[in-house]
Amino acid sequence: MTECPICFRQSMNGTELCEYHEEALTRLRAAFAEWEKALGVGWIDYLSLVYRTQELGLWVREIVAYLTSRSAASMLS
Amino acid sequence: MSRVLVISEKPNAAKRIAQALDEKGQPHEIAVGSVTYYECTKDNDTILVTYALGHLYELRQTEGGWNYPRLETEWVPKYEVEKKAAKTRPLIALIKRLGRQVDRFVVATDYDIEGSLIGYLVLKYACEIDTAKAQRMVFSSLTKSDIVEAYESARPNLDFTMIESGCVRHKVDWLYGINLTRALTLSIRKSAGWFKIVSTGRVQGPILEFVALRDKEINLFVPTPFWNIAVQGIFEKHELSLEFSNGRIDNKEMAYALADEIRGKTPYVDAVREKSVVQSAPPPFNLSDLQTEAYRLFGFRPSKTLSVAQKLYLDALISYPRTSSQRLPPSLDINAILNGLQKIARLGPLVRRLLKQAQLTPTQGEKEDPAHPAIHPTGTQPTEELRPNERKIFDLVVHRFLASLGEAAVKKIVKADILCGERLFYVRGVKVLITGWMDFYGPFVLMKEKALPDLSKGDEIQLTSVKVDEKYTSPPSRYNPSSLLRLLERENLGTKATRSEIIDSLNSRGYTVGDRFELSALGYAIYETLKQYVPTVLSADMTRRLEEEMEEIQRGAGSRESVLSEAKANLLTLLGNFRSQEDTIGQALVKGLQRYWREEQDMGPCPNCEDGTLTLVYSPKSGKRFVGCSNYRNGTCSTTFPLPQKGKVLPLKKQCPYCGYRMIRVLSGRKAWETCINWAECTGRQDELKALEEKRTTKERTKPVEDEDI
Ligand SMILES: [Zn+2]
Ligand SMILES: [Zn+2]
Ligand SMILES: [Zn+2]
Repeated sequence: MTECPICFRQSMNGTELCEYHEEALTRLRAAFAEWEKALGVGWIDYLSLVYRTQELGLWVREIVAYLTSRSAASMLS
Repeated sequence: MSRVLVISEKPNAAKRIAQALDEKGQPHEIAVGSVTYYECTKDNDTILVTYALGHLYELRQTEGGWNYPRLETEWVPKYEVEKKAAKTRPLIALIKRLGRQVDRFVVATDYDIEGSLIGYLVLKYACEIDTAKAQRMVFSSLTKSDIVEAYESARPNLDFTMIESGCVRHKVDWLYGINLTRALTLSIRKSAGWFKIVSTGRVQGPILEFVALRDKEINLFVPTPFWNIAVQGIFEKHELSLEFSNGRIDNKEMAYALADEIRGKTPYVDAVREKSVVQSAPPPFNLSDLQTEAYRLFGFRPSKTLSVAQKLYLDALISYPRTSSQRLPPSLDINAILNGLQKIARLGPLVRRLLKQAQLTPTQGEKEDPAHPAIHPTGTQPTEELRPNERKIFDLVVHRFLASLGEAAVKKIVKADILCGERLFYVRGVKVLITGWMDFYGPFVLMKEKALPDLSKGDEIQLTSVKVDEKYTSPPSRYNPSSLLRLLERENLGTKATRSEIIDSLNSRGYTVGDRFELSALGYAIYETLKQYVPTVLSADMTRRLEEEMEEIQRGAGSRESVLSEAKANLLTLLGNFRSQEDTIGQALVKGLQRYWREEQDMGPCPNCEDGTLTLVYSPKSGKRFVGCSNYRNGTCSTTFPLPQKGKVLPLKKQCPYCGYRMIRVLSGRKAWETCINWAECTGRQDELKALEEKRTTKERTKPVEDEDI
């Protein structure tokens, strides 16, 4: 049984994330299309713009931070 | 000549009743140790008026042991199950003794299920009489005339259907509350060896689910951007806001292009539409309407409004507040009430104006209550100055009552089409033509209206600014005490008497935080565990069905025994199911609790050492709390930050924009504010500190006059 790296809840089958953070990731991906249409931005810019909004939900915010730190780490290695 | 024992619900009510019933208005107050009763004389009868203190009897399990399931109960004196209820011992002894000296018994407790049950239990267990012979006084206010009338036309029997329904409600709530709480608590003890009481109840489960679902939506929310074109113009010195007919624009480039297109144009009025709207007077308050308005106007929690209203009722100033009714009976003497209110100086002119009106018929709402009318003033004037909170609620009830007697208001709604090149915009305005009832609701009227200048087709508007506003969609809003109360009412969960208390318990048990009901990590732990292993506990359906069955009993239709045995059978299945998964449930709860404690204490990484974590620390010596580094214990780091000593401190998952340290929320009473743990040094917080210091010195100068809670 593995734990979600963000909140230590139990991970969902077939993913490292828990139910909430998995759902947060899904919603984050789903909203990208609208941001793309609205601003013509790419994925990386989208992440940093959406992170700056006050309205962003806590779990999605955590997912964005997690994705950003992981991609930063993978760039270092 | 007979001797009568009258049993009221509270000491204040006993005094009022005794004063009203005594021929001379001067009953003898007789003290027996720490308790008292009143003796009065009326038509050659001697009437002894005594009181309960809420319930004098409580349920106790017949089989011992702090375990579950426990399904069988008996009624015992309250002091036997609650240490705090020691005062009920001399009171029960007194009532027992008085009961032997009288030949007639009259119950005069509040006329509702709880009040009826209180009176019945006293007669049955303290007086030990045949309850079929007791009489019932029914009244909706504690004025002299209502009390005398209720006494002289006392009902020959107790309201047994109400008593049955109250009894079932008590038992069912006891069964669910006690057994579920024990199941949860014992699973934790079994799994981790700790004894941490985790409580839930029959109505609390469903509320927890409503709050959790909302909280999840907010936590999962991803906003999307949109743009509004904010166009301002001037017509004959009136500023106008033009609203784009297509609403939101969901692309940045399009928004700016549109703004450029509009800038050079002169907008003109293309059409004007007007319509008159008649707005009839609002009905008088029922409890939840009063609670909603008091929250909107004064920020009072529903439980506070209820307790203030209860106090005004005991002072005979307003009618019984625990009512669902929005209606006033034709028998109510409206003129007499208005004549009474007229004597209150600040209300006099307004009341006299209403008295000049040709007709005084109240607007009747749709909701009814068989037991009590809508909340209304009695016409009695306060004998002493009301405390600020009491005055607010009293004035609100009075103004609403006056407004309900007022005539309809008439408003004119105007909508004009404005063309700006090819683009269509609107301006809207509302003008009150006849104020009607609004005059009487006075300071409490919700006024959003803004009148428009007279516009006609072809009028040109001078543009003053065209701006593009970037905005984001917002998550659903959190519940507040008032919207949560409304939700429970809509879902038919709990009763008007219990709802506000259940709502408060979410916070006091730590499941939610603040006035906006954010679910805490503890709340999530309980919710997730129940959802996964015993979802029925969270189900509104089960609770609602029980609620309906209890209402049926009250109407005389259902059988108490069958409802109770069905509730027991359901509970037993549920508990069996729980027991078989006790280990897993216990482990899940323990994990959740650990996460809760960690989140409550974790204040982020230490700025002065490599691997330390800042946490909340209580000094065993001074009892004071502060933020300290986890490496303090091994002596390698002594970083600390001071904390406010009052209120609850919650770490937030965000950093101070000025200094980068972790933000915290401080909750003290009804106030909540956010600051950073570095507040004493942080450059961004110095203004806050100054303001706080100023407030402190003014507070010292003007001694507090108002006690927030009565
Ligand atoms: Zn997670
Ligand atoms: Zn440190
Ligand atoms: Zn700071």
